[in-house]
Amino acid sequence: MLKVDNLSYAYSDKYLFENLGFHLDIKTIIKISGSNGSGKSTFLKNIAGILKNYEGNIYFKDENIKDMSFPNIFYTGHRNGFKNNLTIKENLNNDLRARDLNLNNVKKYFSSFGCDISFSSLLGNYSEGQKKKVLLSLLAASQADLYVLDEPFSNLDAKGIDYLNNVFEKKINDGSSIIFTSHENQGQKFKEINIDDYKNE
Amino acid sequence: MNNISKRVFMKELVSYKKRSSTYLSPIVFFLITLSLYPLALSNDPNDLALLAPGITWICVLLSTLLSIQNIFNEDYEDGSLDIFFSLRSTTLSLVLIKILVNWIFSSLPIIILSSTVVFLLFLPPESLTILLISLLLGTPVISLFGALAGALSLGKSSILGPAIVLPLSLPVLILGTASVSSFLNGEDPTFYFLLLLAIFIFLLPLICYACIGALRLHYE
Repeated sequence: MLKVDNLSYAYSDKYLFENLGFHLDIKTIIKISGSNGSGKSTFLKNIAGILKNYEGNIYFKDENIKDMSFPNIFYTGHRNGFKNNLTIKENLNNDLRARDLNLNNVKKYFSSFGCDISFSSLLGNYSEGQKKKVLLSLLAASQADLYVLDEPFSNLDAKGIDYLNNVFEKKINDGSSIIFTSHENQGQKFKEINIDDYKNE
Repeated sequence: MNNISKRVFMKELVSYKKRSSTYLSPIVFFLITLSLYPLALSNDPNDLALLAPGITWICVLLSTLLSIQNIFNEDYEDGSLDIFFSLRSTTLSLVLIKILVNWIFSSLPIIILSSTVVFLLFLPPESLTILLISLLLGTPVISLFGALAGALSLGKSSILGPAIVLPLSLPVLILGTASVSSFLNGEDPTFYFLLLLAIFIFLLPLICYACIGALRLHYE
């Protein structure tokens, strides 16, 4: 589904990573690990098409991702793309990532994450962890071929982490693939790529 | 309008509606500055009527400046721009929607309130239509400059905004004022309207693509 071929990215003439390459098959999860500032988020932005000035190639469904329009990819970075001055419902209804979103589904996933807050209240009134759960409920209710997620496990409590693992499993069973970054130790559950291995010191 | 553009438009509308300070501050600023001129300059209706077109245009320009800076900044800060680029939708639609919604919320209320110059600055009522047409043609150009300033100063301080918008807006200010003044002197203002329209038509694609370039540059 996703093929990363000899990918290198330089920032201010200094390479963050060089000659990174791997295959992400359908129904697979890959975890990207690495030290702070190693370029994990940058790499995800390369895949999501936000930063295109990389060397090498990224193919999604055998097509160069640079030339694709509207690929069915769900991306979320450090910043969630929500607006604090809007209600949770307004944020979800107008979110660009959600195609044919059913708000009742999002509510269902949201309560499964152990949250019980009103969707008509302002998002800015809630903690970062609760905002993360809103985002992950949106993710759970969405339908994408590839999920590109930057630190999805951060700011989550134990129940949230357990539930997110269940969501990952469901997405894989539905035929999606996931690539995510994380500092947390998830054991041997996911195939792992350490971006520090692609640094040329 | 495709689905993504429609959602960007709706999100912009809802977001602006919720940020009342974005459109209320320019309105309050406009009314206050407009009402100060009769106190500071002269209370003679003839003097004020003569100065009314220029004063109104200066107040409109300064008021719109309050809200047109950094129109992309909030989307950059909260990650919405990242998500937009990840969808590979056309950036042109994003820029056009941003400019349109910004104009609806920051300039349109001020244009409507400009009618008060008839009472505050004794502008002859028959020239009000000319003033409103000049503002309708001129303020979209100021919004274009605002968008360019916003795209160039993405993630930086807002000082760059007025430094770009004010000098660029001078021709619009001169033509807008001249159209009303020429009407007051018994001349036909159509020439000035056509010039303002020509400036807008010429700058619309140019500035939209400059904005796209500036936004993309920030992501490279």
